Amino acid sequence: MNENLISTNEMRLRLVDLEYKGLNEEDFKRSIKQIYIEEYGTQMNANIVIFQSSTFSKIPDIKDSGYDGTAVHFYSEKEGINELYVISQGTQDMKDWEYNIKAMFAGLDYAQARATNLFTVEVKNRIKTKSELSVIGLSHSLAHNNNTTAHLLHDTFDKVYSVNGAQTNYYQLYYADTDFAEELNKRFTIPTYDQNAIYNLDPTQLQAFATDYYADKADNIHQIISLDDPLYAVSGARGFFTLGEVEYIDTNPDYPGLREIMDDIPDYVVQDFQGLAIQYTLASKEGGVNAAIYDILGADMNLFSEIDGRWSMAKSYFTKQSEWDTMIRNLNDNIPALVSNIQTITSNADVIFGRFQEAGYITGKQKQLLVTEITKIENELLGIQKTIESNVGIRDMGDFYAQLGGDVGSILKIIRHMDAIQESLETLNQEEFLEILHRIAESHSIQEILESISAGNKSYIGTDMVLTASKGKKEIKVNMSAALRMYQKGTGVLQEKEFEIEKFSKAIEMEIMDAYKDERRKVIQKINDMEGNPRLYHNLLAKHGLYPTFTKRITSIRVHEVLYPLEQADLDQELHRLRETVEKARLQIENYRNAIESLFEEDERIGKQFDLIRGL
Amino acid sequence: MKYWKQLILFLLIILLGGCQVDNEDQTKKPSEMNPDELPGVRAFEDEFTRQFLQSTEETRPGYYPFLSGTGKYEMDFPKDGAVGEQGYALKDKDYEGIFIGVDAGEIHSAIRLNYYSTDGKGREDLKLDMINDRVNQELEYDKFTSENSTLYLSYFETEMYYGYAGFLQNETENGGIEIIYQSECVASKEKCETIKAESIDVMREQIVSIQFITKSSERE
Repeated sequence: MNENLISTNEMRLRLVDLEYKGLNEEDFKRSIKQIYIEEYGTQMNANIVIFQSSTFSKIPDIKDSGYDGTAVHFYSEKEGINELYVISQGTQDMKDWEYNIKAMFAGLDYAQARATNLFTVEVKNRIKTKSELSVIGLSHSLAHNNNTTAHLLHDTFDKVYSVNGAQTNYYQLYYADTDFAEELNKRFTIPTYDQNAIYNLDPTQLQAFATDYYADKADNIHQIISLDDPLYAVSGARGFFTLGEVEYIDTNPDYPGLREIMDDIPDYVVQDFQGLAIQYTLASKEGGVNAAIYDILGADMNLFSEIDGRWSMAKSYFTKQSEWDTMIRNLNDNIPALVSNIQTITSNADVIFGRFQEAGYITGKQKQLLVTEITKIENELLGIQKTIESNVGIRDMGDFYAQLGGDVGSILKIIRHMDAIQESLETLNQEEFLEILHRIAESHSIQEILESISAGNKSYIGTDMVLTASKGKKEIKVNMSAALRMYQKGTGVLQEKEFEIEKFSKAIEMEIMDAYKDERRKVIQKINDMEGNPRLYHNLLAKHGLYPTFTKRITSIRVHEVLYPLEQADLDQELHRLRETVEKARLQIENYRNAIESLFEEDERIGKQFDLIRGL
Repeated sequence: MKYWKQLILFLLIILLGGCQVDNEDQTKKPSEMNPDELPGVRAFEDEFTRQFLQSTEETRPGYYPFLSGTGKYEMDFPKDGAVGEQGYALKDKDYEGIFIGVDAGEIHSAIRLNYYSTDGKGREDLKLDMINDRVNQELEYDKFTSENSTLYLSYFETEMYYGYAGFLQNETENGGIEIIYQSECVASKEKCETIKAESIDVMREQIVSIQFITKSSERE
């Protein structure tokens, strides 16, 4: 049960990253082979078969489940390799992502873990090898929760490797794993019928219990986590427990990471913050501030933009009454929850933003701005809430005109509040804040982890491998991944060009030389025929008059032929020039290769890598 | 002309509005009713559970009509049951995870129902394997076929509980429900011996009452 082939963190990380690139099967395979050559300096001696969940069209349980993953099977009977790597992406689209991250934080649903197992079992059934198959789960982010939960429940994998993963959740497992639930009920004397009892237990004790319960399986779980990863920061939230061997890496030494900040902020505040942040980020990503407002409040900002006074309001109210009604109803439904969310944040603003300031993420001025704008938003929302409440009162009176007047008046009021909210949101959407968010989000990426892993002269830019050579006092960094890609593509293109030139030269031969010879042969044949059988050409005399009394006959034909050789059809020079351009380009590519090789004189593997990459 | 039309429309609205109010009174959902009018049982006392119950009229003694949040299945809901709010998961019409605690005096139970809209026919063995993983047992299942669905059911016991594990496959469209129903008897040993057999029947009846709402039978 050993995984021999993909044995280093770098290789695993780069494999997981490939899953995000949306490659087709062929490109996926080729990329794996290239990464393998870069990382190990040798060619992979195994056959690769790729299984993508999206292609399991006949199995709705997998294809429609929202699960997205790729399984890579490496097999070589001779080398004794039989390994299956299942790379889970967790979720297919943004909508799924939103649901899944919320469900996961609440510890609700194990559907994705179940789908992970279904997919893996289905792939296993399709692999018909006789030797023992090692199954390894690879994942990043949310998918760690899926892979690990599947591993705990269904023994889906022999080993699980993850990076910046969302941790397992004991609430989730309480619903999924009845054996775990039974032990937990016993240990904490939870009444079986009490459907909410588990939420009243001390999270620290539950966490310790769960960690202990699954300790055996944790031996096969390995994680790499960035201390700056925002997901790691919120992993201290109730429900989560971390299993397995974890290697923590400080991927952004400029900042202390968010974990400590989050640990200082009460659970329910973090939850409210999360909820808002997720909803806002998702909606605004798709359609800016207006879309975010629509998504969160159910208010269509376009409806407001056409209003510039009481009269145009009344007009719009008559022509688009159902839209306005829907909006008022949406606001009525959505605002109370939002207000309570925001109030949690404003009433803890000093703790939250103060700690962000201490940690150097924001300046004092930025903190002030954040607090001011969020408080403004809170006040405007309260204003809307109040307006709607009074409006509902008028509606209940049942007077049509009062209702109408009430609505138009209150809608005008609401518009003023909404405009102010929009303004505040625009302020918060400034480049400097987006930049901070971006910097924080970067620490969740596989790239940043790879970039902080460097051993010897090897390091990474993104997921490309970089080698550093020392020339005297100077250091020269070479992006090996890019160099190999260029070398491979370059030689590939040149080969193709050469092939085309050969085809061209053959075509010349065929089309011109052969055609000339063919025509000449036909002419000579005809001559021979005429000379041999002159009588057959009797009819040629016809143009000289053919009467019954005409008694002339052809007795012999002599042809005095002059056949000129083919001229001006010599393309050798042109062909030569074409071949020269290929040679030149090849020389350039080889020079480039030699230059890199000479930088790393001691390392013979470099030259080998170039040779190997040509073969892919 | 126009005024006439508007007037007629107006009258119609008033008339229809009036009708609606009358109808509403008769078919009011328990969740919309005044708590004082509701039966004084655990199922109705819990506000969250009330949302799933379709009527205050019993389907059979001690049970009320329950409609799942996806609207994909219905069942008889025990008067002593309550749905866990914090553990409830609903994803559109795709997935629903529900945990029900039942406090029937000396029998305490937990029912776990997981609905998956994408579960197609033909992989039932795999699903049963996964249920076995969840209860940590190697169970063999009996198969019961009805017109619209197939039920796989197995009795099992653990140190603390006895109960049923099962899977209900929709035969007319995609959809499956994982069912795990566990009970414990908290009475004296002698008493438990007599009431246990009875409670096993209760469990079976409860499971059998779970029915898919297929497109043809879907109510408006």
